[in-house]
Amino acid sequence: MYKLLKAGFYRLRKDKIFWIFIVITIALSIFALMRYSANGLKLENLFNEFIYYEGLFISLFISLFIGREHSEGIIRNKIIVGHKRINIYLSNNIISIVTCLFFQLIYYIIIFAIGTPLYGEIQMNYSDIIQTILDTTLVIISYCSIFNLVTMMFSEITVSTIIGVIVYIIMFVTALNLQYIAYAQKYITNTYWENEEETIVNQELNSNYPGDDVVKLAKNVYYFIPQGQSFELAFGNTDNLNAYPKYSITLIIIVNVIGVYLFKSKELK
Amino acid sequence: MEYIIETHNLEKRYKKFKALDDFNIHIEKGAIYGLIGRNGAGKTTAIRIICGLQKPSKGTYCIYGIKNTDKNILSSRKRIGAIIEKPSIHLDMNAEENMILQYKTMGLPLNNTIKEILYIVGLSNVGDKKAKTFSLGMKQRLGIAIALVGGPDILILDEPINGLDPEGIIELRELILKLNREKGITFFISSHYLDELSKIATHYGFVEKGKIIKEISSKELQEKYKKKIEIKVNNIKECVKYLEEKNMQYEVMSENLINIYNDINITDFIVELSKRNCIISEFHEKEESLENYFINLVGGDENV
Repeated sequence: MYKLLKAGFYRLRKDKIFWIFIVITIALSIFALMRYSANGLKLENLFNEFIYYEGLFISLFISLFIGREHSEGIIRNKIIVGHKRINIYLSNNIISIVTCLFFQLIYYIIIFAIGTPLYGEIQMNYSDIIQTILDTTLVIISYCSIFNLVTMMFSEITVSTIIGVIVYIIMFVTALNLQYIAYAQKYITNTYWENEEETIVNQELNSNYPGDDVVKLAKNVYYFIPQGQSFELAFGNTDNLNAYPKYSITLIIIVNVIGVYLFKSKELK
Repeated sequence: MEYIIETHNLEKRYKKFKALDDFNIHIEKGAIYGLIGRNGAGKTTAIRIICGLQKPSKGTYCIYGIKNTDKNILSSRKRIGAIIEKPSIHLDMNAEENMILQYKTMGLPLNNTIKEILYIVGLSNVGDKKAKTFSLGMKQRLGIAIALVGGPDILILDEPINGLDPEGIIELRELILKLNREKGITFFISSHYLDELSKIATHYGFVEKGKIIKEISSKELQEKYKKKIEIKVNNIKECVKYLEEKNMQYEVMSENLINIYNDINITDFIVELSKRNCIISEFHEKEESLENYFINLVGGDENV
């Protein structure tokens, strides 16, 4: 495993794709800061915005970087020289995770290093910041595990890239729909304003409310999908920060077990 | 006889299609083994299985006597270098960086052998040129250089001359011979370029519809397809008597057909036989090639 990691990081340093994605990360960070100044957003709304669409970013990076291992025969070569398939699979996942966390770190450094002196300190308590970063790290590991599985299963770089993007879109659309259900209001409250005071007229049951069980299930699935957590973390919602890790860790384990099993039985060309 | 690679009734099925069927090969140490067969005969499938890329549906194979079902097969595979279909090279790296990557993949310390191997394959002067700018022949040689890292005892090359220009083919042929003679590396080469293979191979395995239909050494094959004279005579006894007296190599093919494997003076030969009341009614000079041998063997008229 150590040999494969050493070789993988050497290849990463020499790979154009890696450097192109660093430039894109820097550009996205600067773009976020520019939006901040234009829209008067606060740093706490902004500092984790990258995770909102980072799944797509990770999908493209892994498809292009690991996908090239397939197309250039590097994976085949690793097997021929006697490496175990489980080690090949996991080492590629570790390299993807470390690299994507490095991209995230670049984003944070730019946001905090430029954002703080320009727009003031972040108005969020430190435990929430640390928990958000920890949750984000686990979401990134989840994304890497999912897209590593996709890329290791499809030997054609074009196919794995397209399927990776499709998987991301499915996660995005599913999470959006689940979010709608998970945050459905049980009651509709009718109010009116008078002299800058809000007065409740009445509360009635929302006829479109899907029911408590459905909402609970939707919420669980919503948190289980990395894109669901991404929405929450990007919006700065701190309500369930402590609950996210269990969903992420479960997903990471399941995806990697399935991935290793499938890759071990995959017929390579 | 101890073989470096041998397969035992190897079978590979893709749903209903049998890509390999009772596939048996035996590769001796130091040999250049040419696996010959039509496109789709099962050559690449056999190589993929031996290299661990695919699993056999039935049967077993051994590398250095270690069965594929044995845990230690991974360590015996470390003694193999292979190029399957195309060389495993990183196109954004130069030749030396590709070599370093292979050293790291194999966990070997970086040393002067990188330059030595690049020199052997004739790529010591390519400098910082990225592999993507290399010609097909250069890429193939870089692939061999990578496969040579760690000092393998066996090199497996799948269709190595596909797409190469004549110069590239000559370079590759000379490289294979050099590595075989100087480093004692055993080669297992699949190809359908029979003429080219006949220039280097010491052993052949002919594969047809996933089955090895014949294994033969080049010596045996040369005996079979060496130049011969085929004659039809009316008195075969007298003819044989004469050939025995002259200590010639011959083979009686039927009651009036005989093959002679020596150079003869045709005029003297005809005169001598006529003195013995043996008349030659037909006379053909034949030279059989590896290609003819293969076609005769598979019994088809399709192109290889």
